[in-house]
Parts: sequence; structure tokens; C-alpha cells
Amino acid sequence: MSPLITLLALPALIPAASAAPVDPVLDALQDELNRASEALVLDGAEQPYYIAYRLSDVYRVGVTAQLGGLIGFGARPDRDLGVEVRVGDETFDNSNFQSNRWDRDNGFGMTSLVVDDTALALRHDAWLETDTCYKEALETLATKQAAARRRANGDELPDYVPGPVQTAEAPAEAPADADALVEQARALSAVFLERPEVEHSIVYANASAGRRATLDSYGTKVVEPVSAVVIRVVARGRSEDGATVVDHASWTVRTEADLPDTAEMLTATEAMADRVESWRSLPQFEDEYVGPVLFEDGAAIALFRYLLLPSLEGTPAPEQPAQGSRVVVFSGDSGDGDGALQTRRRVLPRGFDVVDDPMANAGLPSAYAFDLEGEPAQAITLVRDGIVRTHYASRTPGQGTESSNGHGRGTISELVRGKAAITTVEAGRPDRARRVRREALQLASSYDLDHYLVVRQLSDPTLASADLGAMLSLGGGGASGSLPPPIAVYRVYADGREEALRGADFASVDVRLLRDIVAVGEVHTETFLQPSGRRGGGPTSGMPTTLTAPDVLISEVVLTPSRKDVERPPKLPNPLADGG
Amino acid sequence: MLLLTLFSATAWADPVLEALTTELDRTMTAWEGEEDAPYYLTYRVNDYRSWSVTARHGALSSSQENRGRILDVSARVGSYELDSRHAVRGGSFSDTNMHTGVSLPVDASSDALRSVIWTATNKEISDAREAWTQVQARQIVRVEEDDTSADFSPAEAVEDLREPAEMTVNRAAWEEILRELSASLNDHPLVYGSNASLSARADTNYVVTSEGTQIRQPRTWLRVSLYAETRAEDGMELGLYRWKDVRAPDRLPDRELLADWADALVDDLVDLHDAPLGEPYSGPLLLKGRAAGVFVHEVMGHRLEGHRQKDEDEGQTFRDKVGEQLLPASVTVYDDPTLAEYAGEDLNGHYAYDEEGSPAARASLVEDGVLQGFLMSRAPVEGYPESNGHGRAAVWRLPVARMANTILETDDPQTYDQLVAQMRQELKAQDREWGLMVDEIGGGFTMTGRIRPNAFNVRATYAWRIYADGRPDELVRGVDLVGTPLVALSSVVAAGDDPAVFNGFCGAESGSVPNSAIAPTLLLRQLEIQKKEKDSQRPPLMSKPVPEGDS
Repeated sequence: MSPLITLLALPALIPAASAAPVDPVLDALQDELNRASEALVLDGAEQPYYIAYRLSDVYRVGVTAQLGGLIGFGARPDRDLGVEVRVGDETFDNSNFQSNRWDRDNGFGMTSLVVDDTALALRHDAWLETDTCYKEALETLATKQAAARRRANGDELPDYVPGPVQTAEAPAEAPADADALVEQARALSAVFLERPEVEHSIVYANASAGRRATLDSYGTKVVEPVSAVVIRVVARGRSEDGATVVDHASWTVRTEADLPDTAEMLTATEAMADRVESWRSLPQFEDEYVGPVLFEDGAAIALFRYLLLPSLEGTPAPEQPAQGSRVVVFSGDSGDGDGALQTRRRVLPRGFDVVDDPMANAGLPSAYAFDLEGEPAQAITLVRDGIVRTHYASRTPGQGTESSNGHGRGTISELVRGKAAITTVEAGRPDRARRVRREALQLASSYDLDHYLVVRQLSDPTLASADLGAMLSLGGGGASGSLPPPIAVYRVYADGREEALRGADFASVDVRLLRDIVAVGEVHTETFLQPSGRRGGGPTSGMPTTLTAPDVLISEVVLTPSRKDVERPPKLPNPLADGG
Repeated sequence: MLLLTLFSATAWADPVLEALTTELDRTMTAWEGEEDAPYYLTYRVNDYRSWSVTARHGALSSSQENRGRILDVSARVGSYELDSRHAVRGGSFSDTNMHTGVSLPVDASSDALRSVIWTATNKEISDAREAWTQVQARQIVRVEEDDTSADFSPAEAVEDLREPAEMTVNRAAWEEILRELSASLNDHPLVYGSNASLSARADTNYVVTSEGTQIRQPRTWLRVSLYAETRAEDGMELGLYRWKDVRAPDRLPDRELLADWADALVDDLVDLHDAPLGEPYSGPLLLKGRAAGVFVHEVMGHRLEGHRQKDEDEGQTFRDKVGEQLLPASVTVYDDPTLAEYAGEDLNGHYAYDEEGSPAARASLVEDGVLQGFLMSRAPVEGYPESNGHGRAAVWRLPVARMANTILETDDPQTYDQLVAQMRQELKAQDREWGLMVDEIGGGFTMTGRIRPNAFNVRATYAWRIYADGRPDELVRGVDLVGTPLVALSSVVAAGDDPAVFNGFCGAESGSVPNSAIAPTLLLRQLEIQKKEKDSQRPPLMSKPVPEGDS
């Protein structure tokens, strides 16, 4: 297949202040935005007070491989336009009200754009979507006003707080080499030809590169380069009692050049396959455990990812109609914004700080100079000395965040929300490993235990579909505010001996667990994909997010045996096994 | 003990076939003699290459080429008489025709393919054993069924390995053609949305069964289509779709013909936009061209699908009417998947073997107006123990009896003018000012169950009033044909000399399958018309964008 690479507009690096460059895509969208700002009005109704266009203009490569062969391949330009129309005023408008649409917020929509640089066709697509969003916005505003009339306890916050007008343009990122990704995926998937104990394996290799842009009726025009390469090697093993494990080796980087070399990736894949194979014969975790748990490596990152990050997202959850209202709304919201901790509350022990700086490392896929609303990225301190000071904030204010701090992220078809970009959990100097172990054993003894538990990796909810086969990918973004089960737990005894167990699950865990951190260890950094909208995320979709955090010892965690029903193991061995 | 393998003599030049047969053999051997073992196992593989090019408003919106291989596994536990696929009366969603399917790598070794097949087979056999337990329990709890025929009919092994599908599509050339066509479609202020597209597939389909059947058959298909839509001032969405399905690229319409189609489509859409709204009506009706084919498909065809005669949740309209007069004595209806063409048109419903591995065959449905029989898969019905090659399914669905090329013919053909004259006489006899002629339809649906009304709806997109006094015909919009099957069929009084082919895809419990409906213009003494649903949205508020200087 010949990629349509020439169709992608790759603008040259041009200072924002210079004469306007010829950019048929942005020029066409600007023309249509200007026309709508001036003339879009329904007789007897109010005009939009704000319109924003968000362009995603990328070249995508998607490869899926299994056992050395290709299951799927696609390489194509992909151009989408997100449209935001607000009616009312900044104090009270149609935004952030529970939608009756499953895939978008009312007044916020998305359309695909033609991939040719034909101005008239681009404007046509934008024209129709803007018209739809405006009508939706008017209806939603009326519904929201009706709900406000019924409600006794309205909030005092404005609905929209824009920052200064911004103009900036940066060149688009170059597309990934599709052939190289195909070869990489094939090579990694071929590892499992020699692994008959692995019941099912699959490799996803996705890349998208290009640019995004935000244009709005207040005059902002920001063009931001975007690029991400995601490779995920997923394997499923099954024990003799039928229980399954899904493990993975994953890389999320900005460009192909940032990937480790193939030999290193093969080694990591082999190591993961070893883990899956050895997991099959681990003894089952059988009794409830209450006592200290050391979260190490990926488990430490996951602990903060699933418990801390959602509790620092400051954009309020969509407003619901008052109880008793006759307005019917969609009930499948992702729960964004429901779990934010108020400022001046303790979330971590004394001495802990949490900072986020989207520009901390421009080489990461999570880095940006301007967020999705066109706000300049800002370095922020979310937690100081264990106390919440602020939240990840967009232009939709929440309690404690009166304006954007450059963390407006998400998907272009929905209200932009405050989300993490490059977050670091700082806990001062790490404790020595020996001290952490001693502390853990001392804590364990107070529970009359001769061991403590270590967790090194949690399962990934976006890979749950690996249990159903390759084509039945159901997505799923991962629970917000709770912890997925660990793949394995390790009992550690005083003499340093480790005993691995499978089939444990966390009981009643929430963000308050983080206050019980009693020691910290080595620091790790990981880039992963957070669900970017209400539809959740699949194995290779979502917003790249980078988190740096230390290993942590928590004084008391409860783990119970997993209650999941399992299928009987297959009657026949894998044909890849000798004599199969 | 040395076990005979089912496929011992084959030389393996095809890794897919090798993997399917080897794994099927291994599985059946391993289960032999076990309690609740599968007595029948089948693998279907759809190995495809597909092309899709779409343009709108004079620009390309997508151009793709894909390649894939999909495996579908189906196991049956129990016996041919009663098995795990036994229809469960009042069954839940889990009893539907969905079953196990996965993607297979397109370029992996036979061993790699076998490993993927093995995983899917394990799941399917587990599902079948679970279903079998449920079936056995329900047999005890529920009353005896009306039709006690077997669940599945045995079949002779067939081996027919045809060459894989070969086709190339010049995407670059079509990108240019479609850009041009889409610009033409967009060249009217009232056309809000439009597109021109080409879709194509080259499929190589495999069926391998534990009875020893091995089939590999090719299928190629292309569709070029034009679509344009607008919105009437009262909010009604109006869309017209024109398309052509063929089996080879050189049979597609050329650029000039397509350009004429685009111009005609826009003209027709504008006429429709300005046309008055139709109103509820019951009276004489002419169904012209492809509309008549869809009428036959929806009103009669679905109700002649064999499994519906057995399923006690179904209306079973025609189950006890074999031998009865349903249509005028001049009319014959049959379904024949062996036909690749009719009246010079390629037929979508053509195949050599169905998805159960049965050879395609002509099924006689109505002779001289009298009902003869049903479309049959390998699910027997009382009095109809064998398949007639109509067991069809999309991937991941269990085959059931479905239409393929459904054809209504007459041995007393009337010219269109004769039919109009006959209609005017009928209008006068019924003391009506006008009747309706439906020229174009957008599809239809029918409900064949007992819980809901046993009714059909055929969606007319282009309909005309024909006046009894000979005034010029008048276009109307927004009407659907509705009715119940027995009354509608008994209303057919004459058929034309102008058979037309409707090529489409039909969706039912075994998924979306390609088929064709062929009929001449039909005159009905009486049919009911209802108003079409309509949106409450206003047309776009601003005029559509125009090139600089044209505003």
C-alpha cells in the first residue's frame, strides 16, 4: 500500500509574528470560523459568544501482529475537527452539563475533515458541524437554565474563564516509518512462536505524528506539534487450574528514534514471556492479608496513577439535572472530576510534593507548549508538604482553581478538562533499600506476621480484551480512584527470601491509602496512556502522560484472594508445543 | 490404534487450509469417545483484501486498502437430532447467533495459524458444552415443540478448492474520478451533504468441516455509489443514493455515465426538496423496478426462510400454506444463488457453496402463484429434511436460511403503459382521484415474530401521484409502504415486462449478507402508505460556503 503521505500538510517553521504563511487547512478553517462568528444566529435566539475549532492533523500508522504475522495494518492521513460552541455568557453557558449524547458533550462536536487541502471542502465540513453544535448549544442552555431554576443549591463559579489571546505556530512532527514499525511488530510477535506455554499473544504498534491547532473567536491561533509511538506486547498465560494472567511489555515514546533498539525490546519481551510462564505455576494467594505492602517499579507508578492523579483533576463533573427533573440525560459519563480532593486537604504524608510541568522534557510524547484550549503550559505545584494546593485546571474553573493553569487536555469532541501531563511525585531523599526492608519487617511484626508483601506490577485494565481474543477489543479505560489487581505478590521474609503468589486482589482501596506511606525508595519514570474522553481507552489509545514516582512502603493494605471464576484449561496443548 | 484422519490425501500448498484441517483433525481425534464431545466442528475463514475510496465536496476524504483474515469456529455437541444449537424458546441474548471468531495473521506460518485456531476452538467447544447442558435441561422443563425435526442434517463431504480471489483496483484513478463526481454533487446550494465512493472486496472463503468437507471459493465485488442529501423546510432529511454493484473492475460504469448519474441525482434531490409531503393513503399502487424487488424480499422472502417455520417465536406466516395460491397464476418466484447475472446485471447473491458448505441450488418458492417450499439451510424443518444451499451468515454468526438471488417472474408481462392504464381503471373503480407509483426505495425492514405485529415497511424515497384523469404525474416525498404479508401479496394483480435488479446487503440474525432481489413492475390493488419519520432540525442556518468571489 502506498501511504498518502504527500497529502499531509507539513508547515515550515515560521515565527508567529511574521507574515501569515499559506496554510490552506488553517486558512480555510479560520475563514469559516470568522464567518460563523459573524453570521451564525437563529432568529429569536442569541448568537454564540464563543466558538473554538480544534484541528487534529496527523498521519497514523497502526500495526497489529501475532506470532510473526500481521493481523492488521493501516497507514493514512487523518484529519479531524473538534468544534466548541458556547451560548449564554462566560458566567452561565451550555457547557459542562450532563449530555444526552454518549459520544460528545452538547455544543461540542467533532467531524472528520477531507484529507485534500481543498479550502471549499474543508469549510463545508466545518460549516455543517458548527451549525449542529450551535443548535445543540441553544437547546442545552435552555435545559441547563431550566435545571438551575429547579435547583436550590447552585454554584457560584463561572462556566468559562478564558486566558489572554495566544498566537504561536510550530512545525508539525514528521510521520513515522510504517515499514519499520511493521518489522518491529513482526519481530516482537515472533518471540511467542517459541513460547507454547503462552496461550495468546498480540503486538500493537501505533504511531501518530503531525500537528494540532486551536483557533477561536477571541483571536487565539496556536499550532502545536504532536507525536507518539506506542508499542505494546501483550501475552496471556493460563495456569493448570484455569486462571489467566495478562502481562505486557510497553513503550510509549515521542518518535521512533526514542525507542530502545530492537535487541533491547526483544529482551524485554522475552523477560515478560518468562514472567507469564513462571506465573502459571505460582501458588494461589489464599488467606486475607492485612499488613505492610511495598509498591515497587510499575506498581509504584500505577499506585499514583490510579489513586493520586484523578484526585487532582479540578474540572468539575458535568452538572446533572436536579433530582426529580423530567430531563433525560445520558448516564454513562466517565466520572471525570467526581473524585477531586479539595485544596488544603492532606493527600500524602509530610515532605511530599507533587509538581507537573508539561514542558519539563520536550522529548516526551506528553510534552506540549500550549494545551488544547490554547493556554500556555505552566509548571504547577499541586501538592506541597503533603497538602493539596491546586488542581490540574482547564478554562472551566473548579473549587480552588479559578482559571486555567495550562493543563486543558482530552479529546477534541468534548469539553476540555484539567489533566496531568508530566507529573513528578517528590519525596525528598529516598530511603536506603535496607532501611525500607527493615521498616517493613518491623511493621509486619506488629501484625504478627513474619513477612511483608511486595507488589511490582498491577494488571492493566485496557488489556482486559486480551481475554476475549484479538478482534473483540472492548476497550475500557481503567477504574478511576481504585486499584487494578496485582499480577503477582511476593512474600518477603526476614532472611530476604521471596515467595511469589498469584490471585490476590486489593480490598477497599482509595486515595486515603497514600497518607499511610511510611518509606520511599528508588524513583521510576513511566509514560502511559490515560483515557482522553468519556469513551475510555483501548490498549493503544489515550493521552500520553508521564509520571515519576518513588517506590513506597504503605503501612497497612488489605489483600484478599481473587474471586474470579475461571474456565477449565484446554484439553489439547498449544500446537506450537513439541508433539502438539 | 491408528486413527484415520479426515484430510489425509491433501498436498499442502495453502497454509490456511493446512492449518484448518490439521487442527480440526487433532481436535476431533482428541475428543473422540469423551462425554459431551463435539460431534461436529467447522471452521470458516474469510481471507479478504478490501479497497475503499471516498470523496466529498470535490476532495478526498479517505482512501484505504486493507487485508485481513477472519476465522469463525462453530462446534456442535449432542447429536444431529438434538444438539447444543437447538433453538431455545424465549431464549436470552446469549442464545443468539453470535459465536467464536478471531483474526488470523495474514502472513504467518501454518503452525502460527494453528495456535490461533487452537485458542478459538477451545473457547467454542467450552461454549458449546455449556449450551448443550442448557438445552438438555430445557428439554425437560418445557412442553413438546410443534416441529420435532432434527437440529442439523448430515451432509456428504465435498472437496472443491478453487483458485483464490484475484483483483486489483486502481485506487489513484478512482480518487480522481470520485473527486470530480463529488464536486458535481456538491454543486447546488441545496445539497448539504454528499459523497462519491468506491468500495471493493476480493474474498477467498474457506469452509472446512469434521464431515470431511473442504471448500475454497473466491468472490469479488465492487460498488460505486453516489449520495446527496438535503433537508426540507419542515425538517425532513432527504437523501438519494445511487449505486452499481459488479463483480469485476471493468464492469463498473465509466466516468461519463457516472457524471450523468451525479447530475440526475442532484436534479432529483432538488425536485424532491420542493415536492409536497405525501399523506397517509390506502389504495392502488405501482411498484416500479427495484422497488418491486425489495417488496418481494421484505414481504415474502424473509417469511420463506426455513428456520422461521420451526421457531415458535416466529409468526410462521407461510408454514401451512404450501400448495395454496398466494400470487396470480402467472407469477413464479424462486431463489437461485447459482446465477451470476440476470438481464446483464451482476448479482450480489451469487455463490457456489453456502457458509455451511452446501452446494448452491435453485429453490422453487412459488410456481403458477402457488407456494412450493422454503429456503433451507442444514437446519431441517418438518417435511424439508435437507439444505438447498441457502445456509448463509456473516462472519461470527451461525448460518441460517437466507435469501440469495430472489427472483419474481411472470409469464403474462404487461408494458408499463398497460399497467398504468390498468391502475387508472382500478382508481376509477375505487372512486379515487389518484394512486401512487413508487419509483425508488432506500431499503426496508420486516418483523416476522409473534410479539410484534407481523408487518413490513418499505422505505420509498421517490414516489409519484398518478391521477385517474390522466393529469401529469406529481412527485411527493416522505412516504413509506406498510402492511401485512398475506393481504399485500393477495393484492398483486399484474406484473410488468421490465425486470430490474436490486443489489444490496440484507441484515438479519445471521448478520449482513449480500443478495439480490429481482422483479418487474408490480401493480397492487391496495397497499397502505404512512408518513415517514422526520427530524425536527432546521436546515443549516448559514448558506453553504462558496469559493471566494462567488458569495
